[in-house]
Amino acid sequence: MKKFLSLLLTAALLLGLCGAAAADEDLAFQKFDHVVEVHIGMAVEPTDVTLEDGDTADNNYYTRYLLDNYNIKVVVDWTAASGDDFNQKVALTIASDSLPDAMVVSDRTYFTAAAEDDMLYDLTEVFDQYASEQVKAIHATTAGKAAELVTYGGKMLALPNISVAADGVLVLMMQQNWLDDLGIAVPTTVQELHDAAAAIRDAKPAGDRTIPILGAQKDGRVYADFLHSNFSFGFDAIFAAMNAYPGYFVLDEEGKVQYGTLSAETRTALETLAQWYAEGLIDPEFATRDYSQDIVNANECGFFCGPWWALGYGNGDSFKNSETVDWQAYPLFTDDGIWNAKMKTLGTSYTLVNSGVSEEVAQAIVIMNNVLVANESVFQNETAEDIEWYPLRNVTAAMDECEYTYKAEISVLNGETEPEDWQSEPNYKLLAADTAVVRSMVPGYKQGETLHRSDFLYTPETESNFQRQYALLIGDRPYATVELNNPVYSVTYTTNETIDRYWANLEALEGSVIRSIITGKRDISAFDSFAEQWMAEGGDKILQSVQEEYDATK
Amino acid sequence: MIETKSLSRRVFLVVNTILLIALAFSCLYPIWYTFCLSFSDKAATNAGWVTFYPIGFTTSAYGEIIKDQAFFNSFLISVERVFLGTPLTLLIVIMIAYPLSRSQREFHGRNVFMWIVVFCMLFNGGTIPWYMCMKNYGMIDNMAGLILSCSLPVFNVILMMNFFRNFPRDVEEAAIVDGAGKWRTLFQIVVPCSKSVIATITLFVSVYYWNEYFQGLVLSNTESHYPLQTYIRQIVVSIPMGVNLTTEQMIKMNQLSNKSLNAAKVFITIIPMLVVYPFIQKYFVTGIMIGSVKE
Amino acid sequence: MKGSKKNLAVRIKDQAAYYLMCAPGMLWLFFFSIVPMAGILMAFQDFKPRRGIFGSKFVGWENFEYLFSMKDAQNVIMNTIIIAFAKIVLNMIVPLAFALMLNEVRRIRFKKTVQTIVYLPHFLSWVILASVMTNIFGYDGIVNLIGGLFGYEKKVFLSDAGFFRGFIIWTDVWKEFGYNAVIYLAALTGINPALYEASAIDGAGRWKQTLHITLPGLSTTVVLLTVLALGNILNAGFDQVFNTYNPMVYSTVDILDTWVYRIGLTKLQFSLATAAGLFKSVVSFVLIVISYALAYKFADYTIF
Repeated sequence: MKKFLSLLLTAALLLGLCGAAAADEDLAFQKFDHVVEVHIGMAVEPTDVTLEDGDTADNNYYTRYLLDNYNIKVVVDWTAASGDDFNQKVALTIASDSLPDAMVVSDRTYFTAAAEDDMLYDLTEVFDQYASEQVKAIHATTAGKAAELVTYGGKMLALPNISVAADGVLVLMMQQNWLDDLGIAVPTTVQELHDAAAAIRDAKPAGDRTIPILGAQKDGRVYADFLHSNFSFGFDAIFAAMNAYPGYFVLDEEGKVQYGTLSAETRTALETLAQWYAEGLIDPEFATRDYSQDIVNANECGFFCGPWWALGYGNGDSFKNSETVDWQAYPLFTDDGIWNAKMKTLGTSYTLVNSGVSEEVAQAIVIMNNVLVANESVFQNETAEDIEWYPLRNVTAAMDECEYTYKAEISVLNGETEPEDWQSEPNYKLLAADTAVVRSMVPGYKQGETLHRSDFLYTPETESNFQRQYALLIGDRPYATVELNNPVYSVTYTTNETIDRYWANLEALEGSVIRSIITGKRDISAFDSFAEQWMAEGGDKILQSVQEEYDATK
Repeated sequence: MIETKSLSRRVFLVVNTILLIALAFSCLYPIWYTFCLSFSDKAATNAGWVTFYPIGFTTSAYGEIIKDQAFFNSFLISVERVFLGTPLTLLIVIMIAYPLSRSQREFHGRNVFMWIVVFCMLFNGGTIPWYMCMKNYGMIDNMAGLILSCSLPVFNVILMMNFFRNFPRDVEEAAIVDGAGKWRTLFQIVVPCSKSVIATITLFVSVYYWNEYFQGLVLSNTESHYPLQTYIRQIVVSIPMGVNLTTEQMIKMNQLSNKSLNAAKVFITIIPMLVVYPFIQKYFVTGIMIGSVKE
Repeated sequence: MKGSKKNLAVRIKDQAAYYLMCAPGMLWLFFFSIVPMAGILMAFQDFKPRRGIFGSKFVGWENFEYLFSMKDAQNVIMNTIIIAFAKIVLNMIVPLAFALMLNEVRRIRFKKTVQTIVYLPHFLSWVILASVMTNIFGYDGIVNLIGGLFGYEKKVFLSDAGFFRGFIIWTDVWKEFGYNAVIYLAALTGINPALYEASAIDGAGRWKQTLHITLPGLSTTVVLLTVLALGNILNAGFDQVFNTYNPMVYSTVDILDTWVYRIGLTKLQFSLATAAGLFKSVVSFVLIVISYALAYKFADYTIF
């Protein structure tokens, strides 16, 4: 019934939109009558080997597709490895006022800096005319938040990144097979997690290399904050189970904006984590390890926190390395049985368009985004070249895509619906493909029973399907099926002038204090002096500015 | 040596020798260790079992490098940079150091020029204005940029200048009496007699070009144009961060890091140094001595 | 009168060759050092790229006031001074000790071999050494392996802020001691052998000779090098720190240059970064001028 309703709703929504602006759809996928060049800067993965021989960043399956079908010629002005190197290039282009026609930046700082200095193209009209219905429908699922994110001074100055909500919900990932061997039940509270980790520490299922709880790597984050989310190895699930929301601006009982890191709950949680570190429950190389992911892939840790894709997609090698490993995902509750979770903002990347480009180029950029959203799943069947090579790829996906897919798949597995029932829902771009394969990918499914690794079909040929299905059906199971009692949103997910001014310093300070407390380099009293210092060095002004913004929206 | 050695003297000599051997060992060991890692099995390397010899000896890392186009590209770029950059820099250094080695009386512009040189050594506008200039000069992403970017190596100018100062004046004066101009004096009399300092500065400058990574990072538009050290830095030092990456990027990071392969690349980067260095080092001792200590 | 005028003209013509010789170097400096120095103005502006260096608003000393009010900046400056000072002192003492030790060796081949080997690290880049050091001091590195043999627990050295500062200092000393010893070895050869012979006749042992002849013989060199190193007090080694540090150890090893890099090139605080850079340049310049004057006055030494 529920499913039927949502189907109806989607259909109605789509019909309404199509009716309103049917003519625009031609513009959204128009082929220019002459070649339009779009110059971009691009982040690449140096380790990627999926490009065919002779293909390059600006001559590959995707760029040829764009040229052949839309007369859009992509010229890559520069590339850099994603992460620091790419950010440095972005900073240099902003500093020297030499933005390429477009680039996708991964931090809001760059968006605001460029916007503030009038470097960005006003996309308001172009987007309105040229964005496809599908893109607009996905924007609509955010209830205006997407538009808010990219609006600066009343103008739309970037294309937003809209990623699935589940990306931001960190749950507890665990090696169920270890727990089973030790006869331990799935831990649901912080104390149970402690006891389970202690049992793993003592039993050493992976020998001397056993790590009960894995945490952030060198340069990784200890928890999501209001600007950054969607990564593994934060301790967010543990913090939330102790009612602590570090990194977020939250409201106290009186409606005053507070910074979550400074709360008494965070202090207690840090004490606990420090205790755990001292007891050998947390990775001794916490925050210095090069790649935490190596440990998961080697199946050498018991627990870590991660979003839905951390299983399957995220640890494909785990399953290659062991046939028996059974990674599972569960929420961690407070002692009162409440599931708290920090919720993320829509997305953290922005497609910036140089204010100096011609209208045609701006149109081409919007069209490129339309094409990506419409055809992403098709591309993946047609070429082995990684989708990251798609120029200006900035994920635009319905926020509930994972949960919606999860429910559709379960209903297909239960025989309540057939794959054919799910073939025409443009908002959920992978749904048709997912429901078509789910029965063959999960031959061991029994209605009402928890899925395990052994229920999935795993062969080298089906590996990519396996990874996706595992992520959806096990990784996203908590968020799709368990009631999230208390979703916690930050008061803001964007910076303002005051934050911009002080944040770099405060963020660095916070990072180093938190890490050193957990690792026992400094005792918990460092927390108190940190709290004072945080306030003194601009934190108080930041709180005030966020409060003012919040009050203004009330 | 007919020196009767007391007991304490002998003890001292033994201890001294041992300490010196230990120091020398400490300087060689990191290179040896890298060598061992590169010839060890990937699993043994990642597990940290390698100590003084390769474990699970294999050349597979080198086999992989042979197929690694990016590595070779960067290698060639660095080689080109050294071979084009060193002679150019050397010439400019010789030409500016010679007049600066004259006294103020002989060359009126000497002090002013000297202070400009020193001033430029200490002050800079920062990376961003410098980048903007390089961009305006059209020196982004090309060999010219990589060569000219490292401004004049002032330390080497001073070294060479001091050497020239100590150059026996009578020889130069004899040349002038013979009717040789300043240019001929410099290039036909002074330079041929300055082999040690020129060898030293050649070494310094080429090592500088070989080791430079930062400008390579800032000026190159794509990784395939990185000089070797920038390339190495990208694979072994800069860690892709677990933040702000898309899901797909995170997923790709899950491949096991390969310490053996990295060690092999690092080792190959060191090799040119190991090969060239023993030949030049005998010059460099005399070169730096004469250049830095005024007699 | 006429004669001297003519002389002057001749002299200028005479010196034209010198000016020409300087020209390529000066042009190089002009284009790649002096022109970018316009960027120094950013330190006094609220720099906005689109408005450019000549169009941005001037804010006087505001950036400097903010800079010096930041605890972070104070910490960074302290780190810089501590690390640089330790490096200056140890890069003096250790090579000196090494030179004296090597001087005692009579076997020429052994001496030459040791000397050749210890120069080597000087020529390796920090990019290379950083990766090698991480392997050696990492959790699975050889230091922990050997420590384990002696019953020590494995440690995570590279996250230990207390350890890391010493690590930065000593690895630098290790890298440079061979190279730095060259000058002392040179000065040692300059000491008159007759002095040793005379004192040997007086019955002085090697130790006494070292104390009374060798060290005084080196004192000028030591003093001179110390004075000249003064200008480096804010130069703690960007390449080294940049390639080895991690956020866990910012508190003890983050130095001015790395900090400037981060706030300027990843956080886009252009003006603040420039202000910090300028601060460093000015201090260095003043110190260099002072040390130049000192060296000239007390040792009659002109470096440039």
